[in-house]
Amino acid sequence: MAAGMGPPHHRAAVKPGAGGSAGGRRNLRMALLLLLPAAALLLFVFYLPVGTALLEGFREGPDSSAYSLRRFLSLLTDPYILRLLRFTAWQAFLSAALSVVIGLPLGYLLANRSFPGKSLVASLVMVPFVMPSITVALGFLIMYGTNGWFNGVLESLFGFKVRVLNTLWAIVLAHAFYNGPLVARMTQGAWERLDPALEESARTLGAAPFAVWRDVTLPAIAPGVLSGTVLAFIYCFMSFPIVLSLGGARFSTLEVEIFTSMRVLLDFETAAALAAIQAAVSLVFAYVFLRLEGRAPALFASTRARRPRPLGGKAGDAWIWVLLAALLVFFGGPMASIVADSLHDPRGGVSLAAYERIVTAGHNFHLGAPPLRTIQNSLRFAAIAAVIALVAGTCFVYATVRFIGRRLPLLETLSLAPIAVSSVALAYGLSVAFRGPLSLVPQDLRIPLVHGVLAFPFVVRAFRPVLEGVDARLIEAARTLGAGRWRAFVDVELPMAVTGLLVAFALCFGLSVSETTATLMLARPEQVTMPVSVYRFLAARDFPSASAMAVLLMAVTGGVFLLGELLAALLRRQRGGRAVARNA
Amino acid sequence: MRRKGLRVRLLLVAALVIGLVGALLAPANARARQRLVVYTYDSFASGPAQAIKDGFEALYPDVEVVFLAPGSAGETLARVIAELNAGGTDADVLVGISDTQLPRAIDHGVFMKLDRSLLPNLAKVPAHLDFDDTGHVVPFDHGYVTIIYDSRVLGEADLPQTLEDLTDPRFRGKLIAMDPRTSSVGHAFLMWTIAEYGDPGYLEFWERLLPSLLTITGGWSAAYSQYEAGEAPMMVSYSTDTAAGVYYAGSAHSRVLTPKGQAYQQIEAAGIVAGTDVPELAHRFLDYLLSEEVQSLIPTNNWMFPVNAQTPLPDFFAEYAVVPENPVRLDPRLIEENEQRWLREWARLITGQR
Repeated sequence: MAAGMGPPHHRAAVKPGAGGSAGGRRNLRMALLLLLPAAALLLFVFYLPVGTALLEGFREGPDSSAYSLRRFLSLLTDPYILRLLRFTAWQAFLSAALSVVIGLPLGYLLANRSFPGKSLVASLVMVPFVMPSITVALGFLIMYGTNGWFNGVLESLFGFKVRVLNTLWAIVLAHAFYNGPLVARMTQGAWERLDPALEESARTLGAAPFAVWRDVTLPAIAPGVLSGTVLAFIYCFMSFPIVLSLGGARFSTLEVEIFTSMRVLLDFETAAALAAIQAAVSLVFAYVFLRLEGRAPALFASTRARRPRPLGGKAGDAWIWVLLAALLVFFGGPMASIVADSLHDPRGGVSLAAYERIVTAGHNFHLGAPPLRTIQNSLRFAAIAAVIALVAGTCFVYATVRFIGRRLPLLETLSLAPIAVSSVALAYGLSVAFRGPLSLVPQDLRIPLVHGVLAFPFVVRAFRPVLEGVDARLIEAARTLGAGRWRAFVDVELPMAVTGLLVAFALCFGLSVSETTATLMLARPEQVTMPVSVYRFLAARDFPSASAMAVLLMAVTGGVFLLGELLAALLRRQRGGRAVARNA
Repeated sequence: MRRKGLRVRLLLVAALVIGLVGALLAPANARARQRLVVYTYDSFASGPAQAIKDGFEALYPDVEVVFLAPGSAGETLARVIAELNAGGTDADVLVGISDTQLPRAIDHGVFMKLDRSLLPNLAKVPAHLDFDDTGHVVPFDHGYVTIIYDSRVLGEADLPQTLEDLTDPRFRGKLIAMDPRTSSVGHAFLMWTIAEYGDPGYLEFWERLLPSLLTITGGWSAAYSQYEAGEAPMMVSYSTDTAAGVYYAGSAHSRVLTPKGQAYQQIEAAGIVAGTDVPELAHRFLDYLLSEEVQSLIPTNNWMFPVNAQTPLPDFFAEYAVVPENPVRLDPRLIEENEQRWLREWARLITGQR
């Protein structure tokens, strides 16, 4: 364990044994206390119900009470299943790689540069996260289709078209559209905590720009990059509607097979076994990533935050403007396509009729609930889920970083499990549990709890690199000056970790708003959410209303993200002001 | 000060009294209205469901109908079974089980046997549509899966006349299909090819068909948006699509093909969930589903054909919705026995091609 980590005196943790053995015991007690919310949440809303469901994979037959490994052995020796697994991992790898390629420059821009409308851009790139997969598929069709915008521009400029749709590239691009921002925002948090003095002194000492990047910058942001990459990988490993809509059945992933067993053949045992295999494989990959992350030395903890340089009109900044424009086209294009589609009248021309239909409170014919109620439902679920996940997640990270002080890849891997389990298997396990052992949980809390458990891994991944970037000596200093642990947390760590928390919040919120599989399995009739109503409009062949609803969904969540960004910017400015005042 | 305190106390007492009275009255009110919970698939919920709820509640003012749509027909059935496995479901009625899913649903004990004497409207349903000889469900609509084409792109002379014609090189990349594992339309098309070419002949057909397939999407919506955007001029879809195009967009450019007069017939059924505590009400609801009042909603709200033979069809629907001369159907028991293998073999073939 320790061999892979940086020199011990550089660790970002308060040394557990600092106060002698009594202090050590107190630290352990605090750690256990802080781990409690996460443990309870994961145990009752994930491990027990989903574990029970996956146990079915070991059952010999539907009515048998004998358990064995037989089903696993036959699945794992089936060349077809192995081929599916291989392809699933391959496309997830490609997607995660492209997400890094897109996420790194974006993370650089967000952490190091300031430009007009930056908060808007920062919230805009989080919006893909909440888009229903069918909406992304439509956006990509309008953007990259044979008769799409992209090919239109290509053809008028160079006289040729490229085929993107219905290839592996469409899948990988769409996955990067979802996950690039994830990598970017996780990287941004770590990057902002990198003390600019380190890079400056390396440069002063004569290091070439590339050497500075390789030896100082990269190691410092590595935990953030790896955090984002591991989430992107797991996410793409489980992907399926995007894969089938944009690539086609040729590119089937293992999740399609699980869905077929669970929902078409009603063969719960095979579905459970496949879901267990899928989760195991993706968690093994995650474990490897997290070991890598554990190797990244934590010697960049800083007291100073960097100040983003304004993006100006200098010649050197030209390529950055180009980069910014390219990123805006990549993320804004498919979203703008949806807006255009929502204004498209099937009888020809442009019309706002779809919006009139969906904002009319009385128009509940398609949804069984007024459309505005679906917005209310989505926002309420998301807000409660975000609180649940943030409390459990930040306590978990705080306990492991500050009180345990060592990275525990196994524990971290286990904390990622909720997003590694097939969503249909998860939904099945939970729907059974809420009618059995969890039947006491009030209806209104069930969906937020499930979303909270699904968002928990995102909070952990987003908050950890940032908290590690906050120098523990600062806390020690604050405590020496008489501040309690809580005061030190609120006054010192919280403001410095604000980007990480903001990203965590946005991810929780977005995840809850976009989740449909478990929601549909648990919802009562009146609990229709925004993405569900998008699917309802599509089912009713009301395509413009579906797009208008998707636009509304993007606008509402984008607005929430923007509010968060503005709040964080305010906090950062205040803190910056205070720091300047103190220095003066 | 004192007076203010008194007023606060009075307000509190009043609130308490109102709350108590309300709490006593509310459940009494709720108890007076019997609840009938109907699980259905999403396009039924967004289609005729609201009108059916209003109509039934008007007939029986002391009844409240609640529709719940957990997704596609398969997802709806999966939720009922999951809930039954956990000890009980809220569903009293399940509307929208396909004939192909029925044997499996019966095996899982989803439906109770119907008392057909309580369903007088069933007499108006032709015998060939009333397919369930086990007496668990009644059909409420039916439709046909076939190929639609864009008549602005393909002329009369270019059209395929048989399924085999689709494999012709001139149709390379011209057809969009759906995955039979995730889409009921895709499932119906696969069953059609099995009925036409037999087992294992269907696999060889699909191998020949592959070059003509632009893509095989997961669901109907994704396929339809590609078709409408002009990615391919043909797709697997319903024989009512021209009628729907006329109704929504005032355009009949999408036309329906019935190769050799064929199309695959889907029959959708409804049944009463085992363990319901309102079986009699549920029977009345099923009978209402079969009434002309509800059946006349089916064409333009669900884009299927009514099963009640006495239901008048809207003129444009009668004109554009195509009824094939030789509808194709596979025996549901045969499907149940072989489905797992068929889907697996199909998926092996398709994924082997990447």
